[in-house]
Amino acid sequence: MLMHFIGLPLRNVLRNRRRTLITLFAITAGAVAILLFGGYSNAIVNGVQTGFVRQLGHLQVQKKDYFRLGSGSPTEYGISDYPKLVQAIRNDPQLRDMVAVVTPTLQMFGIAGNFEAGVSRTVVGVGVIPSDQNQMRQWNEYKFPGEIKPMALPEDQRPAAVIGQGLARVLHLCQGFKVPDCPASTDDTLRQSVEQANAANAPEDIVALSESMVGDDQAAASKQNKDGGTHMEILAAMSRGAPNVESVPIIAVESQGVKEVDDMYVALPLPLAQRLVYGQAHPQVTSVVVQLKQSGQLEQARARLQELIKGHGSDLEVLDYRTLNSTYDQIRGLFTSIFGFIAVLMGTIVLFSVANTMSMSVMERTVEIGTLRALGLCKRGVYQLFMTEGALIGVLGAGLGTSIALFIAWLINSSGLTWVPPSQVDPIPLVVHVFNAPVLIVGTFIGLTVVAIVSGLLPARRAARMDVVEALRHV
Amino acid sequence: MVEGRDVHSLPDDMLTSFRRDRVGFIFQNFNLLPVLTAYENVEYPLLFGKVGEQERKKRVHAALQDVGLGAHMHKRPNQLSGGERQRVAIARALVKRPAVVLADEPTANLDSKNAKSIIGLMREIMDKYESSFVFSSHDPFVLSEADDIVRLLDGAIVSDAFVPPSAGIAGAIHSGDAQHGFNSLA
Repeated sequence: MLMHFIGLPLRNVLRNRRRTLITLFAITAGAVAILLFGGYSNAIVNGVQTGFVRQLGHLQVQKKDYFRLGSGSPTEYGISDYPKLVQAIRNDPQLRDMVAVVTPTLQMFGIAGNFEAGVSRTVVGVGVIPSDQNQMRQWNEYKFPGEIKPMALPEDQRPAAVIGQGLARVLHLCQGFKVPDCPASTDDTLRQSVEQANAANAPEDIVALSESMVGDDQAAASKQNKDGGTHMEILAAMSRGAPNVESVPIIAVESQGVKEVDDMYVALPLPLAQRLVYGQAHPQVTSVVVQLKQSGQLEQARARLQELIKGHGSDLEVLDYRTLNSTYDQIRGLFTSIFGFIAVLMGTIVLFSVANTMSMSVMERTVEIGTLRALGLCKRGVYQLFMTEGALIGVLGAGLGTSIALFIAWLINSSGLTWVPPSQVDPIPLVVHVFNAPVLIVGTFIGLTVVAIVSGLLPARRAARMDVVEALRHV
Repeated sequence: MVEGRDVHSLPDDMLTSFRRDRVGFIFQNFNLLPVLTAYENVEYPLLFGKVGEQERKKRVHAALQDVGLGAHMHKRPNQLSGGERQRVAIARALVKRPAVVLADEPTANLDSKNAKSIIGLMREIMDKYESSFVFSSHDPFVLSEADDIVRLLDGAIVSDAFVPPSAGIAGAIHSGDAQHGFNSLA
């Protein structure tokens, strides 16, 4: 009976080898295209998610509405008892197994200046605990190859700053750091330009103040030179608008990929950022960042966090990284739509390819169909025969395509090729995430097989409905 | 009317059952399934019925031995000569023990030597399988071997309308100017 159900259809499929090969090639090409692009798309989305999770964590506890309204008012929207909250999250029996890192951060806005050069600009700063940030950077759920650079900020949290390359250029602080396109200028020309600007535009009292500051800066600069470091001044607005200035040594200049971010990025140790924003007042943070071991536990962790924060005041809320940075969903949506387009395109090609093969097969085997019917094969039997042939073509093609796609994916992942994704600086390995996407593999295999079966529906129906005598007369 | 039933009025599934159980076919072009071996071709009609595996094997081997192809049962049609292919077709028609075998110009694609051999074979094994042979032919030799002959012209009987005494098969199966022989030993 195996011969009847599988053997005969299989031999029929292999009968016209050239045509079967062409059909198999179409299905194989479809499977390879779907799987490789699906894998590439997965890698992009996983890469973006990894970047955001390393930077923002999975979840953040913030004061209610801070995300929408509070960035200009870190005092009003700060979390004052954050050490207790951090400890509570770390010690929670339900969260303990899910959580990788819990760390407080403070986002701040201010003006960074190089008064010696007479330049300044607004900046967005983030105060962090460097050791926690370094631990967050190790998050690698999708096992991307390559080493992860630690944060340049010292883990002992001594005052220091890491700034973007664009900011370093704007502030004329890129000398001494490996910053491309760093403008060549000397202290004398800068000083001269400051003096000229002051003389031309500023009132006398301001000019006097400026000169005194330049004098102070010169003294500071001589100290800096003695220390061998570069400093900048950061001006932040404290509560009720009082200004607060700190001179901060710059220990590293790092590109942030996007110019707008690069021109205003400042990273500081949390205590320094808190001193800038809150002065002598009680230090606060704007977020408690929670990074999970696995992204799949996000909803479970969110639910538990929401219960937990009730004990720390009703004015807290939990936000996930997708809310905090909508780029993830946008990129994911873009790649999902492109993947869908490619899958439909490939499915259509496979549909018509198999349908054409099956139609030709039915036409060529008309006499054979008549013979089978004369021998006693019922209409349903003829229908099953051709449907089985379509399914076999689908299974063979999808199986072959999946195998080839997995082999190519392995080649790509082993090739060591790299590329620089949009809005990033460092090249990352070119990988396709197929092996860790069983749904994609099984879905492609089943999907193409189903398409092949559907392709055979009409030809099989036509074969089954043939009149026995007419079929036997067919020349 | 066949065995008391009007086959023209039977629905398709019953006609299929009728062909499967009661009628064997031998075609001018042999119409063997090219992807199956001689054994599998002969076995194929039995796969639709209720014959058990052991009985099936026994019958197929016997049928192929009867037509003299015991040594060629694992060859495919393209590895057999025309005469051998027609022998396979005869074995396939008889293996299910039909009441009647309809043969459409069974010797048309054979040389005279093979044609005589095939007709001789048909005569020999009719007794064993208790089947009647109804065939159409233009071949005078074939017609000379027939027990009864009906002449057809343009689809109409022009001489000796005949009803087989035992098998109960009646009617023309071939249009045009042909003669139909009815061999009945059952």
